[in-house]
Amino acid sequence: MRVGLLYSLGPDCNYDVALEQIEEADRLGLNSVLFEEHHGDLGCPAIMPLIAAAASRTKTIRVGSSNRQLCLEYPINGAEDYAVIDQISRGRVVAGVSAGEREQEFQAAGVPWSEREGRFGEALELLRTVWSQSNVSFVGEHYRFPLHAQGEPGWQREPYKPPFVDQWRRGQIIPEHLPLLPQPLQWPHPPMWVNATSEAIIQLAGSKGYSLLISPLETETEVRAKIDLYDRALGQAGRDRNEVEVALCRELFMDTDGDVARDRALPALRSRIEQLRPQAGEDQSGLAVIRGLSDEELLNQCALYGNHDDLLPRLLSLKAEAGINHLICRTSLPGLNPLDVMHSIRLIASSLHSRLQA
Amino acid sequence: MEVVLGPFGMQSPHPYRRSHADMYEDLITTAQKAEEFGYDGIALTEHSFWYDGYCPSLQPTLASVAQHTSRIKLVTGALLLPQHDPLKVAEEAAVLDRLSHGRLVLGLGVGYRPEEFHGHGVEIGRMGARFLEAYEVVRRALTQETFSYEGEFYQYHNVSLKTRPWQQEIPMWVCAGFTEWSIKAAARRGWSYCTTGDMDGGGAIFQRYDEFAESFGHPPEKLKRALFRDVFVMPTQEEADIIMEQDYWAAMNDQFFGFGFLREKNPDGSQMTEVPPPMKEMMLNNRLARPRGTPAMVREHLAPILDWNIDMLIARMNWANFTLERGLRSAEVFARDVMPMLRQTTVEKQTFEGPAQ
Repeated sequence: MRVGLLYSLGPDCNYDVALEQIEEADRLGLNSVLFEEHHGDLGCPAIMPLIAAAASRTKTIRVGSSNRQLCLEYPINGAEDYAVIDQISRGRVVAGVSAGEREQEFQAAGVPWSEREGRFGEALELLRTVWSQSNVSFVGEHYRFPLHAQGEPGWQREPYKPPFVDQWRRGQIIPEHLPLLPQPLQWPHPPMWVNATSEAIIQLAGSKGYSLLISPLETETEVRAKIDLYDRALGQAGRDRNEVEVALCRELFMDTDGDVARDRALPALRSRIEQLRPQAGEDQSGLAVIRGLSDEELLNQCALYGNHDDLLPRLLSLKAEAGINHLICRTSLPGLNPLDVMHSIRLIASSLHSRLQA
Repeated sequence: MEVVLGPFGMQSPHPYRRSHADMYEDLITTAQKAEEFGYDGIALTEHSFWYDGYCPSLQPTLASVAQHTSRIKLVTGALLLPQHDPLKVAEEAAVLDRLSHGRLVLGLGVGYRPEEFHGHGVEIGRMGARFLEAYEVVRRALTQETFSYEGEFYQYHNVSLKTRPWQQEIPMWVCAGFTEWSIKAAARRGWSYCTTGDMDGGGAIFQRYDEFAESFGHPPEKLKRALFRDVFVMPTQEEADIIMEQDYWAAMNDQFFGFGFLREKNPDGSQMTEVPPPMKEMMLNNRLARPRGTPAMVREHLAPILDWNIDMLIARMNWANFTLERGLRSAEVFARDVMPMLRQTTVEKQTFEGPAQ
């Protein structure tokens, strides 16, 4: 099981502290750092600059988004951002993408909430096409690339013998095929991790061979149910678990002393849950498990805190039984001292990471 | 006046192919050097779907530069606004501004290449109207706690950016050429104007800008002006001329004229397929608009702009097929021999006219 970090840097967060922790994680050999997009009080509304910043300060750690909301805008802009950051990071980008989590964000962006899953499927297809093919047109129900692409639904490469156009008119014609340049460095394209927000999305991810990312604050039973569904979809499509990554996000705090860990983690976790509760609305029924669960249930079943002996058995069982092969830890919780967080990251790297990787 | 190095396009054209990963690393080196030489900023420019891999996303790239510099401003010159979602641009600007501790300067342009608009799902027609609306959306999103906007292309209702930028007000520029409508549109709204200049350098453009501003009730002395300028400094004039003829002209011809962006027509109405010699001559030897040569010569031909009340000069020395070293050498000599003249007047003006505004 690989281990990474998750950051949601809200309006009050200090980016420098987070980036220092990321540098340290890179030095210690952790595998990934993902940033969470959130258009409100709880997170960062535009994570691409953060990913680029993290990429340019590190050498080997993978950098990426945990849940870029692909359908809030025309997806090509996002594809370009990832491609450029893939160049900056020399091929370390992870594109964690989400169909959408909150209705109000879609309202603000003027995109119909009901179309999100259809749009998301198309956007994934479009991203994969423009990243891996040289000169393409894409015709879909919601998106067309370029705008005046003609022909059957789906994507097409430019024909081998395109109609000849004098070079000096190339800037004046209406193109039917375009390349996305620069292309990402990873071939055929950066890994795409789909957020397991609903059953339809999990099935889509499984059937197309996208990796799966499960958000924190879901109980182990729910995590297993989602993974079962995903595995079935993978199997039906004739795909193998070796092709994909199954990542689980978790709130995680570690200390050498289990009691100290609990005393520090509990208030932070409680205030995190406090912040999240008002966010859980009807529109999140597929995503959040915050509703209906008490604080204690959430703390027991979702959050991870303690020392090496408390954490390792639970993580090993997640690895062995649920088949999670990437653990993404949110170590920066509200109110925690950055020094404690840094300590926690160092412990994760030194004592958990090696055991989980084996 | 502030002197900014750039804009850099991160191009890797066929005649001079490089790895983009290396180029983005070199950009950081360039920015560090620019900071060391005493420039006030570094600028990037964007185009999309272009065969040489022109940089299509400026704010993430500037974020990587921000991590390795501490003082210089990070300038987008220009971010082609109609091809982006304006709310997303504002959100990214806020995050980047916080990441860089308030060093972002947001230059926003319209764009002119049809394929870029179409590739971003936007119709190129009425791009000006779209730009003006999007600019206003970005401005409101960055300056107002909660904003609404009701336009033809963009509608927002009580949207608020919770992550606020570091600066009270991120400097925003309309980056444009010399068309009448853009000068007028910027002056009408009191927006800062950044121009590429025209054949005579650009003095007339700022004059028009001031006249329009006055007629719309904006005192011209409160408006800000910036200028893109091709410059290049070499120890001898001969060296500079050879580089311009052999490399600059090749890049210009290939990138700009070669693809028909210059819609010149022959007398019979057909598309002109080769740049007419007088235009080439003008591009290479118009010393006023493109001072390139010895430091003394560049100083002499830049001197007129000291009277135009310019706030920012974006000095372009690197072209698609120039090596990093060549650009840096010119940047160093420019900083040493030409910049003091530009700086000195800033100080003098402040002392003579008292504190600005």
